[in-house]
Amino acid sequence: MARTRILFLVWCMVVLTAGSAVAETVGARLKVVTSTTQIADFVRQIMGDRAEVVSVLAPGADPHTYQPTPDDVKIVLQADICIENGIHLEGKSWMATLAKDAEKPLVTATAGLEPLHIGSGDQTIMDPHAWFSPRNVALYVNNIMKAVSDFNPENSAEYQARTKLYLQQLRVLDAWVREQVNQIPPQRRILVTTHDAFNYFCREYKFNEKNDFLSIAPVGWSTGAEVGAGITPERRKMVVQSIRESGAPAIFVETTINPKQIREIAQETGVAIGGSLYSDSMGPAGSAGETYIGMMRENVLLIVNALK
Amino acid sequence: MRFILTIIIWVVIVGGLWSYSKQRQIVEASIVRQNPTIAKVEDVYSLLLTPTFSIEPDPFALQTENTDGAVELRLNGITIPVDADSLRRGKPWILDKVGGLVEGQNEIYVEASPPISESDLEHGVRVQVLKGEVAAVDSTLWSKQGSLVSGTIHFEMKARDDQHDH
Repeated sequence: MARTRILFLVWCMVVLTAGSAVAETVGARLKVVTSTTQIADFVRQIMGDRAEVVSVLAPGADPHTYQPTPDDVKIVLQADICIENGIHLEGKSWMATLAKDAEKPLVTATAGLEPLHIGSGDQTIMDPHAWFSPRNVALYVNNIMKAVSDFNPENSAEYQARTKLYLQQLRVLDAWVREQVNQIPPQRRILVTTHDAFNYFCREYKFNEKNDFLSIAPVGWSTGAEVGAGITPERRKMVVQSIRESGAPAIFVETTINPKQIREIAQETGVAIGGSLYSDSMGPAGSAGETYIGMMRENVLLIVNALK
Repeated sequence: MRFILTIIIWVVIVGGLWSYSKQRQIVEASIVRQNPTIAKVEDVYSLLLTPTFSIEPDPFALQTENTDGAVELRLNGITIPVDADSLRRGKPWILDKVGGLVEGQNEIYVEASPPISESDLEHGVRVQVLKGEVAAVDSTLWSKQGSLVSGTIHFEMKARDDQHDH
């Protein structure tokens, strides 16, 4: 019995010694906190296992109306670096506020991007949904790569190598989307969604020609209460009219927004619901949309199958 | 007594591990690694690249201080600078007096980005290593639609090629 105890004690000490060595290695990982799931995916692609990446928004959450919680404050307090989308995607700049309050460095992934201006007259707004063009994502990942390389220069060669591979994947994704979209006759390329998130996608892949290659949606650029956001009777009327004039065969709901509006419009105009698109957030772990490339692939397959 | 015995066993295990790793470091430090001698090729060769496309700024390029990512050329791991503007569709880009060729196995790595607007086409870059007008290497690297043209060409060289010296 005594021998067993001693052996057990020895085993505990060996495990503790080994454990402390492992903890030292794990402790060297940087903690990166991002506002959205898309940016979290980009950071994982660039940093691999060098970082522990946490997204404040859970899959399916809406960045426009999100209210940070005390848990988010704790997460940001533990961060080495914070990354946001910017261009007012994070309603009331909640990510910038969290980073500022915790005195953490904040990187804006869209820095240097020329955003699309939507709206008319004095009420033009910069569209924040820039990730719907893989070309813009190339800028996101280059910005993130530079920021994390500056922060952690000893691993910069590794970050550059991973970024280079990911950029090639984005290039192939872009070519694949063009090839898929090409199956839809140009006259049938009508994309109607719940909110104005697909402007960059429509511009890049030539949807909605009659709307200057911008998205058609009953809800504005944000689901919140900002200028140009939300639903108005005029917008709704315009959408119904566009569907009737264009003969769009299907319209789409979004995973992050209540589908009520679009279902009502589909009933009113007699068109089918083409499916649920990933928009402001990616899918949960285990779903086809758990990565940016997966999310884009699934969206394109839904759109092409419904419209071609 | 039991406690002391436990401490002794612990010290023996940790001490043993430490002594083993120290011993390995000493042995590794004593190994003399000889650099292999590599004979340079004496003949003068030129390198030609002929793309099926003109290089344009690549939105999917890695943006660093050292490279714009549009073209990358390496001979035996050494980067050869190429001005992206000088690579035009169907026009050979020529590098006279190629340095760095060695006797035995050599390799050339080429990476170039075709224009995004031509992502529906398959593009290629013809790579030639010439001695005078005789090709020692003549290969073409092809891309799939939308991807980069990239690949490695392996070839063997002799220190002096007397066969063509007439």
